[in-house]
Amino acid sequence: MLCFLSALASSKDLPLYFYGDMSSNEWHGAIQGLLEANVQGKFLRLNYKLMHKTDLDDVKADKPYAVISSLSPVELRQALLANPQIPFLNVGSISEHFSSLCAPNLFHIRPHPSALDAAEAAWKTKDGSGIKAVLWHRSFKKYAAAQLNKRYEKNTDRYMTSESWAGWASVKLFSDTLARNGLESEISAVHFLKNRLAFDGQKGKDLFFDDLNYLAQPLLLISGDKIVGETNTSQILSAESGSSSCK
Amino acid sequence: MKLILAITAVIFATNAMAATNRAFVSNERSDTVSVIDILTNKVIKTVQVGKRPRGVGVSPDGNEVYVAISADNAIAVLDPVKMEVIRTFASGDDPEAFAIHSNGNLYISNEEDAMASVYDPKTGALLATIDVGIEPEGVAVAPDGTRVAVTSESTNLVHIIGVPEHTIQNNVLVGARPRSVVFSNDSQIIYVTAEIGGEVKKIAADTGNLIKKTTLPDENAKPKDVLLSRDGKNLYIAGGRANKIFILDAESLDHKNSIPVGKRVWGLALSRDGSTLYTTDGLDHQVTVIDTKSEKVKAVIKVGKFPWGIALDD
Repeated sequence: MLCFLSALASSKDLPLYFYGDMSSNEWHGAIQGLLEANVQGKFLRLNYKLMHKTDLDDVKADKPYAVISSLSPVELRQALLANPQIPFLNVGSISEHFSSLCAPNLFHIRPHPSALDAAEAAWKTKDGSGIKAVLWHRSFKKYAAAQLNKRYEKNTDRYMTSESWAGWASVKLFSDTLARNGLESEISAVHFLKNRLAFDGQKGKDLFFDDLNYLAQPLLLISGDKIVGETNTSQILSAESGSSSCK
Repeated sequence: MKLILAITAVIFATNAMAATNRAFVSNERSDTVSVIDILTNKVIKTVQVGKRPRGVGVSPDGNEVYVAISADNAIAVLDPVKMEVIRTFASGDDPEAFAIHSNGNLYISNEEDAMASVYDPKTGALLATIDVGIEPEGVAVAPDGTRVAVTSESTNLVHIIGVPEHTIQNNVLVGARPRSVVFSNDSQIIYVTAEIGGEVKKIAADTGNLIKKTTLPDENAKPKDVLLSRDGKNLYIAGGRANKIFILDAESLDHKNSIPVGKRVWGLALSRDGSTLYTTDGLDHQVTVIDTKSEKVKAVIKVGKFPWGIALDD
């Protein structure tokens, strides 16, 4: 018991701030991500703390390790620019206004809208029916997705949605980044996320941030609430989206 | 001392049965084990074992075959001669893979419990539990019996556990989704496969320090099982959706050869003399038999649906 307490005492607390609705799927997903990050953290003496916040001035004052947010680009702009060393992980929906907010420390968990459109259009060409491209679905089973769905349902009494997957992924990919990069590394977390991320999102591939800092990932194609296909990746080149690179 | 060893050897010889020369293949979606006569490469019996059979292994004395029946939360015990289930015992939630210590105990990864458990298969008694990461899978016992390694797929760690105290000595961060692990013949090194990045790492077992790493030369490679040749010079790696076995130099991790096999190859077993490698090719519902000297396929055997693990009594 003494050894256990001693190990706990030497764990490093790592605050992550969350801005957004606490009743949202994104929040519940992030909590699931926190539980899983702290299983890894237990063995590496890292203790992640997810703290719900409303005042963006707290970022500059407290300097959390990362900010997870579903706020609009207008709300985020000032805090983003004032804290270039802190990664902001956007788990909210992607509006066109984000393209004017191409900050190097802003990372989007959801794909660029043009990637979703392209995935749906490509499938419609083959199939002709109504198809929706999504990040996640409760019936996804491959790559141990079934186990993630089961863990999430057990803990939250909800199905994992694209929104909850985004919240889960934001905490998991950041915690894995900190674990791999180390707390004293000369490489910043922003640099690591942009250039070295190889995240297992339980989608069967290394996930990474593309030129525009959108998480490149396989998408699921849904028709009639059933998975009918998967895309290889949602990666787009900056030229294809009509935007300039954030690099 | 010599007399004691001689008596022990006689007792062991008396208790151990002659090898049946059979392979036991768990078919994940048929709920069966296919028994193959490895002298003829024919399936001689299919045994109903329970729901979702995955890990499979033969006891050190060759008297029993163990099968993890994941959806039944149990281990089925087969008689390798009669080829029938003789008993089952509860093994904690969702046993996936296991390794067998030379003392006969099973080290089991319990996928849904983030736990490794130790069972005496003769009595079904739970001897110890060890907290590990999420979705533990690969388990290996060091040949000298002093350590066990367990991979946790969703936590990206390999846990090195001391035996008999069953405490974790090192937690080593490895590539995404580590699925299998094997010790070197001298117990000093572990080799770990990581599925997502197609990565293999060579790690010092005592310190947990990385010695070397490599990425398999195929973008479709999602490595699962890893085995060492009997002489310790080659690593055999099941390449998953690359549909190949990769052969690496165990010292340098340089790629030496690739052998095409069936689709989504996961399971591996090596004959006692090292001359024959067996693979389970899940999506083709088959076992491929490879001659390790020529590195050529010499037989393909159809088994049940989605074969997962394979163990030899030879």
